[in-house]
Amino acid sequence: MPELAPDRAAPPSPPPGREPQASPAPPPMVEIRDLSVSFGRGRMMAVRGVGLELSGGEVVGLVGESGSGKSLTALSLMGLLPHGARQETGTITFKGESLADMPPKKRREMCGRNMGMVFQEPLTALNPVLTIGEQVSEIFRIRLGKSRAEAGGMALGLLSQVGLPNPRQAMRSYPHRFSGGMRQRVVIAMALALDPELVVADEPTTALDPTIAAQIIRLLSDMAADRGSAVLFITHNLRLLPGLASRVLVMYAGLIVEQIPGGDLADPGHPYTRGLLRALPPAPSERRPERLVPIPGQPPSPGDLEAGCPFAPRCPVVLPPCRRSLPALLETAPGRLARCHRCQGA
Amino acid sequence: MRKYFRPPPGLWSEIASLWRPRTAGAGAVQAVRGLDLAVSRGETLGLVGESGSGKSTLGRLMCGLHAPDSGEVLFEGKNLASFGKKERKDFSLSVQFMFQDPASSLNPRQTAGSALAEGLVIHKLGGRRQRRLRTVSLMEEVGLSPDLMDRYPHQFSGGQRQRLCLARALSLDPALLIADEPASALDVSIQAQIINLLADLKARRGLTMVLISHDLSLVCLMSDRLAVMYGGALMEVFPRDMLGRADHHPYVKALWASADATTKSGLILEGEPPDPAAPPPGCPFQPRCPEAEDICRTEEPRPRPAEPGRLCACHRR
Ligand SMILES: Nc1ncnc2c1ncn2[C@@H]1O[C@H](COP(=O)(O)OP(=O)(O)OP(=O)(O)O)[C@@H](O)[C@H]1O
Ligand SMILES: Nc1ncnc2c1ncn2[C@@H]1O[C@H](COP(=O)(O)OP(=O)(O)OP(=O)(O)O)[C@@H](O)[C@H]1O
Ligand SMILES: [Mg+2]
Ligand SMILES: [Mg+2]
Repeated sequence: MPELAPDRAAPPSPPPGREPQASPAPPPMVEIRDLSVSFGRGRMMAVRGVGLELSGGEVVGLVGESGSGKSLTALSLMGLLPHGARQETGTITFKGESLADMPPKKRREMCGRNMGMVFQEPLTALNPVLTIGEQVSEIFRIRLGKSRAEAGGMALGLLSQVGLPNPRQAMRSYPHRFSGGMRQRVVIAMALALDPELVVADEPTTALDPTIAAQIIRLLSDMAADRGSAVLFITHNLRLLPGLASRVLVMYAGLIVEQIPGGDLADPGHPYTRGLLRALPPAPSERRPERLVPIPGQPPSPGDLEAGCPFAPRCPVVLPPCRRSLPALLETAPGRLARCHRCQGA
Repeated sequence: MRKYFRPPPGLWSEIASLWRPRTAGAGAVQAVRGLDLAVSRGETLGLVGESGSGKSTLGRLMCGLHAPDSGEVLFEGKNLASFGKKERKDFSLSVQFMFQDPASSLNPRQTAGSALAEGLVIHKLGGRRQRRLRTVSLMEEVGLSPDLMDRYPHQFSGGQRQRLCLARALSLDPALLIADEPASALDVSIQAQIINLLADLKARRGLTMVLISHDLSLVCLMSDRLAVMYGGALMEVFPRDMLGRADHHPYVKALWASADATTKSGLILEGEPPDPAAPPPGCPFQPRCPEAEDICRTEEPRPRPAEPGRLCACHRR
């Protein structure tokens, strides 16, 4: 197992429209430091030393290879790691309080109330034997102690806010009667039900048609802009991020390999991120290419991580040190970090 | 072809639906209504449209997972409903459906390897060794390491499960693949690899595909023809190369505009999507259509040839 330097925490850029002030920056709402998650007696490291900060009012994008640990990072943050997963190292703090040191009852309280999560696979996040109405209004009854009637009314309002047609009938339906996009909107509604300060959205728009996706994205960015919530937005849609996220983090093989301002995403530093951009299918209005260009080779399997940069075997600009030592995540330009010997001018 | 989902059990509705089997009935969800569509051998048809417009239902109808309430599904000229045992078996060998929701379409107690070999076992194809080789090569083709063969579905990430479903759908070398969102959970590099794989299968083996997706870049890249649905009906069917006409159906124009738009400045379609249990009179898109006229509110437009190869269901076109 290669040794890992914890990721350097980067100061978040000030939200647009506000003057940067001389007073010290407010502490971030959420801080993850050196998070590692393993499976099967610590042999398979799925998340390796991830560090991440989120401030109120900020939308941060998280992209990367399929299987690189994005969902596990999000689940750790919510305290919902799946059975068999173990947090090896790392601390997670929410408003300065360590989640691990919190009494379990308080932590459960926070989950949903202060932090809401949109799960990647909506159907598995819904209970098949309860109606949508029961599941959504339960949140208001249990968490806010509302009466059945009051909770039902609130649930109805929430479901229409996420653009479900005929929310009244939807309340009486079971999840399997819903189309993919309808389920996804229910899961989004449940995550936003209690107006959380932190929203973790794991691919929230993949099952939505572009018009509704735009509506949901607007809803999330309004939560950040108007109510000061922090939003962690996991997606594979690179075209979406420049207009949405102030910062984008890129993961590969359990590591954060790059951090870049959302607006700079078209010109990344790390060769993996560059490879992603080359693989992007052309926009509908552009000319069709003969073939798309995936990054050659396969990602390493989590069982056999060698010393050195995990991207080195596929990297088109690999250098000799890349195969020997894992680069640290260091600043390469103001507001930009990369875990790459070449970007760091080795 | 039509497909209605009736209101949840409750004795009354059971009786009602027995009594009036061919009408929608009050409150029934009209998932697919009055739809005609043909897919020819070797082509890739892209099926796009509003969430809840009936795309997945249409896909399921095509491969016999739902029976239509009226109309018929023909495969090589024969009605699916009239298939005998042998024909049904052949059909299940040559037509594969890849579900939209990978997690719930995999058996949680079956390892990746045995999920991939299952079809071969059922149809008694190959020996143990050949099946094993086939399974390994399927996994490699979709970018999964064969080391993961003995894992259970919950031990995969979302995108890995999606690739497992695709590999399973390809395991019997189908002639027709109906893929419901085959690449929505994949990073763009693996997505590119999958798109190239499907393009190769199409070029080498003449694979016919119906591709259901919300990702318009992907659909436009892979399809020969596009079919756009709204409220259970077809709005427009046209060859890919005709994309960008000034006289597209108003919904088609709105859909492409919102896909091109960025987050903030985006043109977002005003109004509510239609309620499938109580569709509006006339054209399903009429309540949100910027060009709607009186006739649109009273008479449902039928798809009409707008030019060779292109059908458009709009009174104004
Ligand atoms: N229960 C488990 N047992 C063993 N390995 C697991 C388990 N759950 C996840 N993994 C592995 O951990 C890695 C990270 O998974 P994670 O779900 O975080 O990926 P991801 O980045 O969200 O990917 P995707 O974009 O495909 O959803 C994957 O390689 C996956 O195979
Ligand atoms: N088993 C069912 N019982 C009752 N209604 C159903 C059932 N399956 C689908 N429906 C309804 O039929 C309509 C069409 O659903 P379908 O899943 O075909 O939509 P879709 O176009 O695939 O949408 P998406 O893009 O969101 O996946 C929806 O209103 C849905 O609620
Ligand atoms: Mg994931
Ligand atoms: Mg669907």
